[in-house]
Amino acid sequence: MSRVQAVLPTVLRTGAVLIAIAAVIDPSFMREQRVRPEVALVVTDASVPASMVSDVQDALKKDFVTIATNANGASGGAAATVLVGSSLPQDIRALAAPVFSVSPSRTRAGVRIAAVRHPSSLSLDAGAQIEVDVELDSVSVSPAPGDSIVVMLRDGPVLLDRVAAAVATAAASGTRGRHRTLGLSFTPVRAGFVPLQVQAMRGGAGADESRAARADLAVVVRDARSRVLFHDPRPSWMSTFVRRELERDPRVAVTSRVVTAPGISADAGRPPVELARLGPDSPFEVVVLGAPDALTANETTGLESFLRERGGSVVLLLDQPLSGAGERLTRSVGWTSRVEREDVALSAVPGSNAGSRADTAMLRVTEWTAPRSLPATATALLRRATPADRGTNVSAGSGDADPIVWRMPVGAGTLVVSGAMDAWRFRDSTQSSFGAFWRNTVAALAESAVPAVSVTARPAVVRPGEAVAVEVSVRDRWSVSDSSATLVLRGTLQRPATGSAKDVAQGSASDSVMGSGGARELLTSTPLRLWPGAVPGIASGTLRAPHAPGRYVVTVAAAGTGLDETRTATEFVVADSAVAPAPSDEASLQLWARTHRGVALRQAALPDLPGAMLAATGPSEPILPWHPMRSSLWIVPFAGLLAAEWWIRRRRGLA
Amino acid sequence: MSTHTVTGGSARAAVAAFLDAAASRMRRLTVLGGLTAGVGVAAAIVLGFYLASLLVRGQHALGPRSAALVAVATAIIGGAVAWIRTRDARAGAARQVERRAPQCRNLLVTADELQRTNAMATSPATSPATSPATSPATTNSSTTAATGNATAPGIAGLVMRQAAAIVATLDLAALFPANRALRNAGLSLVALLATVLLPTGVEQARTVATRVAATAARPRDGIRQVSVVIVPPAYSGRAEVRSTDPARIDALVNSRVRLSVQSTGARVRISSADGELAVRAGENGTHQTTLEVNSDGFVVIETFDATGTPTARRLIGVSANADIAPRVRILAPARDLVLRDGAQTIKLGVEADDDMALASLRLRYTKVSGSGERFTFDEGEVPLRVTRRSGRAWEARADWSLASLGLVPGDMVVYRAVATDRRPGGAPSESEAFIAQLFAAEGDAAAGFAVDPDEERQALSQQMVILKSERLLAKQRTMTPEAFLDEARNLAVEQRRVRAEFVFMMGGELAEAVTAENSMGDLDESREAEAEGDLSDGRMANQGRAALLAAIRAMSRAATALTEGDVARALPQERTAVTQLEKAFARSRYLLRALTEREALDLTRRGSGALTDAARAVRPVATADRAARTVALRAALDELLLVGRAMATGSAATPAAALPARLSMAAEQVLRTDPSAPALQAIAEGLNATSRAITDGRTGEARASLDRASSRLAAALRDETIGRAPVQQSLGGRRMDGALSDQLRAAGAMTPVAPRPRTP
Repeated sequence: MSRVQAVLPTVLRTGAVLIAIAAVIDPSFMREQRVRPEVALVVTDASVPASMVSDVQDALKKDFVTIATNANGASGGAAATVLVGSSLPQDIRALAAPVFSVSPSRTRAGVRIAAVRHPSSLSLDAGAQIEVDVELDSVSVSPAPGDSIVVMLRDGPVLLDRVAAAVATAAASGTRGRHRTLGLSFTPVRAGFVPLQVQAMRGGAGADESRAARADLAVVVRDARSRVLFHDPRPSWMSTFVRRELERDPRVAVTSRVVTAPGISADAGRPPVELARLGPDSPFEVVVLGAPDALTANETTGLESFLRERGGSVVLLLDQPLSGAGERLTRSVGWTSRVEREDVALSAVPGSNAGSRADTAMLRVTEWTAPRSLPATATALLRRATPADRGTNVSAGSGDADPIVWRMPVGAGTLVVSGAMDAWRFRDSTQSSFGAFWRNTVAALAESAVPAVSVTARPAVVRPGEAVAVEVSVRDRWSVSDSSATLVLRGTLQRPATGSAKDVAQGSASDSVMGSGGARELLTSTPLRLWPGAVPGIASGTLRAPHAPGRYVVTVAAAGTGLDETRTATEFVVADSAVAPAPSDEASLQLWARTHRGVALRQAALPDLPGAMLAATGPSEPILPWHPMRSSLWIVPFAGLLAAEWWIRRRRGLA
Repeated sequence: MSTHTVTGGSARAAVAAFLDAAASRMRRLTVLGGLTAGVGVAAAIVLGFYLASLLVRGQHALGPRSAALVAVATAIIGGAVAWIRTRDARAGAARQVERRAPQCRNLLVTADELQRTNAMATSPATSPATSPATSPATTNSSTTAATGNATAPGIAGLVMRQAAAIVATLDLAALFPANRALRNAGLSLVALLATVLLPTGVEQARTVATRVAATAARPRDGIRQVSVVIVPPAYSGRAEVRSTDPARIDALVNSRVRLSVQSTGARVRISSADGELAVRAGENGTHQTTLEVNSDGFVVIETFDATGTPTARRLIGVSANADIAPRVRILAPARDLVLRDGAQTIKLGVEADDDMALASLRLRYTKVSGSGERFTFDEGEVPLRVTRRSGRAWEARADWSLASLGLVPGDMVVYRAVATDRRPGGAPSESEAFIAQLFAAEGDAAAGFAVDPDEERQALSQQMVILKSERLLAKQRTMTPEAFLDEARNLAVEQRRVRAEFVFMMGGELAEAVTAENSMGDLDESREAEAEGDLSDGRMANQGRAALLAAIRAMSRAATALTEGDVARALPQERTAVTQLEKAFARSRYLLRALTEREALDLTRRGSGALTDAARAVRPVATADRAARTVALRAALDELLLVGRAMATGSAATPAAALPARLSMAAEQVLRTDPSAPALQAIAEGLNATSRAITDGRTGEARASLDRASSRLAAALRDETIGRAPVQQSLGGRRMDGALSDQLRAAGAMTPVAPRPRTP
């Protein structure tokens, strides 16, 4: 045995012991080290595909540690922020600089739903127009011939309406060629809260519905009749025939009074004892007045109170030029009255929503009266049809010529004045749209009347954790004029289904048990904090959508001085797949990135992102303490030395 | 075996060439085998992935592209490995040949070794070929000696010559056959292809199996086939129409439809819009019924199992096509005539057509003679020469001599054509009636004959009479007196027609006042006096009725003047009529006119009484019901929403098996609403198609079909809705608008109205 062989076990054992001792001591040295900075990855809108987010993460993983957050998440501690999408997030002040953005080169659908406009509620017997603002991808501005945009409205999986429109060429559409507004029609089939979905995609060959852009919305369908009061101080043909049309409309319940002689009248229902007593508490949404020239001063005062404080609507159906107390309501200066040799058609003023086509005779008259000048905020609804109406180009400025039917705001209410004095003579449907015009006009006024208490929740379809804005409006006399009155609003969030408290939004939840049809359901309610707004009678608040998907009810109870407690409610839906319209705001996004030491890139230029970020975040090799013994690899030589020493001794027969 | 005489060098070359060729062939076959093995391995990998996809959730089978990549990779690897293995193929070629050709008896191996050790000298051996019977032992020892010692060129030459002689008899293709290698390669490719296509094939096989199962299951308790025979009414002459499983039945009204339903269900019920039909059960599960088509509707076929549970349902729409009545027109002279003598001949032309077949075409006339209250009416028929262009279109002509009618001045003949088709009990169609009147100097046509619904006639206005009168006066100098008189009298006819329009437009209310002026002269003074009370009471203050009376009388005077040929005298009267008409219709509210004495109020029928008894009348609030059609369409669309959700997500309340029947019932509901509406027919057919697609397991097609039906139904419902909901404005916004309006009004801000265009 050589000497080396003799000392080898000792050397090996000593080496292992030294490693153990060094590990216990854990020596530290200062040196420059390269670290991967943490960056925040913020997906700004729901239309961004997951593959794009994954691509960005892959591009950055070599040089950075990415931390993904949603559009509301703050990124204060990060070394930089990367925005992925086409719009700015809600809270841009919380983004850590420098800010970089990556916009998709093209969405999956080829289009983006920028906005959806629709009424929040409607009657079961009415339809609704849903306007969809569609934005083409920037690469699609020069479309192929026959290229089209398709938008669809679905109730769940069932298609309700589908509209296709050709994509205008860039040359034809100018700079606005990327934006289109398409109208979809919704016709309700049942009352209640109805979630809907709008889909949009590029049409033509290869169109794939599964890749369509989507946006969720919801409308409340009401099955309650509006209350309309007809009051004729003296019998009037005009009022009589308009009333008969309304009596055939299932959207309204008509109460009427026709005064045939002093103290004698023909009534339907229980009209108010006198118009002078109409006020903020009136149950009627609309008052239609025949023969307004016979109004008294007191009645005019009552109507004005009804308009301003009740927020109702008043329709004056003139059958002779207005004079006396009735004229005080309109406050127009001077009237033009005329008798035509032949009947003339009245057509809808474009943009007045009085009719769909300007060249359609809504009414016909031979005798009419119109103000020589309209109040500044008044809007003409119908005017005498001019030769220009028979063409398609009607200039906007011609809309005020002879405004025979017009409207104007009075307080919170609306006043409509009709100077079509003998339009009832031409009420046959082959001659005019007399019945349809008055039914739709009065029903629309009734729909827009201000309720005693109303609450809205926007958006009505949200993802878990997203913010929901709640606004409460209270219409009452003291909210406007009585400064000493008090108003107490209590808002609660409930889930009208069996569930556990865990499913409901975090907060000071209070549980209550409530019976319903013999069954007992667990209802969990969360108080809602409401803040008074700048306008009297309006309060607002914000809540976070609960994490459990489902339908939730926001209930508001209003009580105060002289006001019995009034409750109203609205709903919203929490869904994991909820998608809100996402307008493209790439210009703002790029501006924000450039002014925050970053750059804005397209998805195609993704390989340039790490370099740009490294350049912006500066040197990433700080002098840091180094602990060489903290590596787990030391276990290998440690075990190897001991194993070799044991093996040698075993061979020698020592073990 | 042939005997070759070769030299030692050529023998060596021949053996070397043979062995090179053998080695090359071995290489190719080995590489082919490697490739084959690689492809086989690829097939195994693809198969393994597929099996894993069946066993492990989330594991996907390899697609064709991935499989191709794998196959190429494994084939390259296999080929490369085989190529490496054949590096020493040349060295082992002799042994491989010896193994496959025992007759070589190691000569080739020996020759190969001799060549490679280069032991054999360039021996000019020319000895004869060694006998093939040389013993192997001897050869081996010689080889060994030659190998170990290169001093035996004679032996080496002998070996070479013998080896060359043997290789000349060998066939490489037989020694190293490629058939097997090629077959293996083909099999491995087929295996790869099979494994690649396996998932698709299995999926398709499943689909087919599902369809077959569905198809096989359907007839078990459901409807196998519906045969329809439409038997049109006998008079139509149309043939029977047969169809199988039609979506819709189009039949002529009064057709009989024989339905034959093949089903193995225990019971079959067939009903129409009018109720359940009597069903006769036949052999082989055939059920028959007969239906008479009188109006649009539908047929519902339902099958039930032994327990009475519905098993299948099918809806077939029925369209009843009406037999259109014949159309008949008088082509000549096609206008009223004023005759100068009663023996005139009128050339008549008539045409008629029908959608199926005409049965008859006649020309009938009524002779009206007399005056005052004594009129006599004689009816007759004019013989026609009928030309039948086809069974559906006829023409007829006649020269009608009026002499046989014995007309005297003042008499008139009213004639019209009458056609019938072959429909039993069908009412005959009549053409427009025309008048031929024999001129009487003081006569006037009865007012009642001139009213005609023809549009062209109604278009005739008093203004047009004036225009024609002016034109006639203008061209009077260029006309003969007779022609001028004829034209004037024709104009008088038109003037009377216009006058009659106004008389009858008011429902004959003015007839009495008008007919009182028998002399076509001035007003009847007594009637006027009787109405004087109305005038004094102000009930005719708006002068509407008076103006209308004056207009009609002016027309009468104009007609009289025109009949006499005095157009110049008629023209002022015509203009007076226009002026009076404008007064009556433009300025005054004729409909609100006061009542004359003959329309005096019946006080017994009015709610009259003492003023003190007057009280407030109260009736309930008027509330309108929704239109039944709207309610039905709304319910049908609601049903579609439920079915759509059940199709998309499944629903315990709406099991998939019940969806076809629910869709069929929704289709029936839609069709019941209005069986004749084409839009609703299309919706019902779409729902039926959806139902069938669900039954057959064609899910994608069912969804597309449901989309079409639901959007059409929503559009139909949209047409029924009354209005459109406004976009609501917030309370704050409304108050702001109101406040702004108040401020602007207080400041006197007004929007002037644009100047009015002049009324044309």
